[in-house]
Amino acid sequence: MGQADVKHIVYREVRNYWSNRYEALQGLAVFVVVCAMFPLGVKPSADTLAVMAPAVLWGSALLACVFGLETLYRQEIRDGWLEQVATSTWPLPLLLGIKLFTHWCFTGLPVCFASLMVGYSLGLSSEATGVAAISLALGTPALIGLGSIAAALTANLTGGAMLSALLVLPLYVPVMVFGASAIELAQNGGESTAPLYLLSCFLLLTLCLAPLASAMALRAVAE
Amino acid sequence: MSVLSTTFHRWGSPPTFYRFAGRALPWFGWPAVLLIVWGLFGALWQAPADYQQGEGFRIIYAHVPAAWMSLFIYTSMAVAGTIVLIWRMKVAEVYIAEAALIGAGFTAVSLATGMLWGKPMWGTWWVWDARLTSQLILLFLYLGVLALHQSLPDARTAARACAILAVVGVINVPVVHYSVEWWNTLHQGASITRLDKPAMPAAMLWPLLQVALGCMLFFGWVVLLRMRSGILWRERRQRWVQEVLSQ
Repeated sequence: MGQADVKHIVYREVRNYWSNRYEALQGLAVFVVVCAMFPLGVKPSADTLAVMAPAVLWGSALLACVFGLETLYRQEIRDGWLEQVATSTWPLPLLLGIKLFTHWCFTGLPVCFASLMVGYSLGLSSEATGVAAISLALGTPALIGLGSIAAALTANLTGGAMLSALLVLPLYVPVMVFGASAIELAQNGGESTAPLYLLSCFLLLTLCLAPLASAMALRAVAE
Repeated sequence: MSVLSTTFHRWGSPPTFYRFAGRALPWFGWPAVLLIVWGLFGALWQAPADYQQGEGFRIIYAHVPAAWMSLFIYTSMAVAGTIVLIWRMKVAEVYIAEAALIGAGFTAVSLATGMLWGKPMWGTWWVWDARLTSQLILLFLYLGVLALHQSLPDARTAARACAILAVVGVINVPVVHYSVEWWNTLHQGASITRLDKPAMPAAMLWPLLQVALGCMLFFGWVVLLRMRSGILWRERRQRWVQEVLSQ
């Protein structure tokens, strides 16, 4: 697999996502809408909202990522791309790594930018809002990596979206805990580097293992 | 080929395993019943009441073995999952599917008894304590394996998928546990202090170990029974199954 091939694959992924960009951006819309729902359930004073904000931001980010998983491998299985690639000599984990990165650029990255606005509107301080965006930037790739394993396991099922949410949400606990506590510490004037480092550790672990596990899962399910 | 690897391969063949399991069943079933009855006798009559918790502490004899079993079974599923992924051993595939249901049962029992214990001791059915939460998440992981197994029609595909999920889950379980513990120490105020656990006197400890061993044997018994029927169902088109059934 040469450089030209990698370039071709990156080009293919970006073009795919670009042509379906409105569908990909639905994750962003879900994030914003879910965040906007929470203040409607309590008395929206700034104090209450700021206490809830870390959980709200992260809970909505989990949902946005889970909803995006459904489209991850659907087309690849349907149009035979996966079978082609699986029989070729190209390393499937590397291809999936590229694919996941593109997926993150269209689903996770917009959420990070949106959190700057949403976090501020939920009554976070400007410093905590920045930490929120950083924690989301570190956490959402891990969410997508873990989610891709579940998406691969359910890729052949019609209506596998609900199932992959059930499979993957328990695995999201560390991201939720570290991400939300980073925001909370920043909001209360604490030092938020420790949870951010832990989040980065978890991200590295996921980045190494998720493409391998997803490739294995896709091969198991597609054969 | 060493003796070890020949044995390994022979056990992996469904007919051999089926016969072996049939012969091993009584060695699990009866000792399990005896140990649990003996242990419960010690637990309910012979052990003294706890000086802090009174008679209520006796629920530990159902709670702790169930919690141990829930962790043990999930780990064993991951080991079986590794065997499935590397050697594609059919018996290990059957094991994952059958053990998951029993493991989910033990997890549910440990949660339910924990709640029953928590109400008189802590004054509440549920606290977001680190151990409780990670046990709840373990239950979700079990349910995920069961749901995935249910929804994939082909048995071998389902087994491989569940194997991957079990292995990923077992890598994640320690991280989940420590993150939850860390979250809890960050968030929890001085609401509930866990009772100090003094070293258990032997009269209390022995019944616990007896019940735990009994539960282990009970699990072995149930899982072998279920695996036997699972193997028969999967191999129903093979000649050896029809020979077994015609006997």
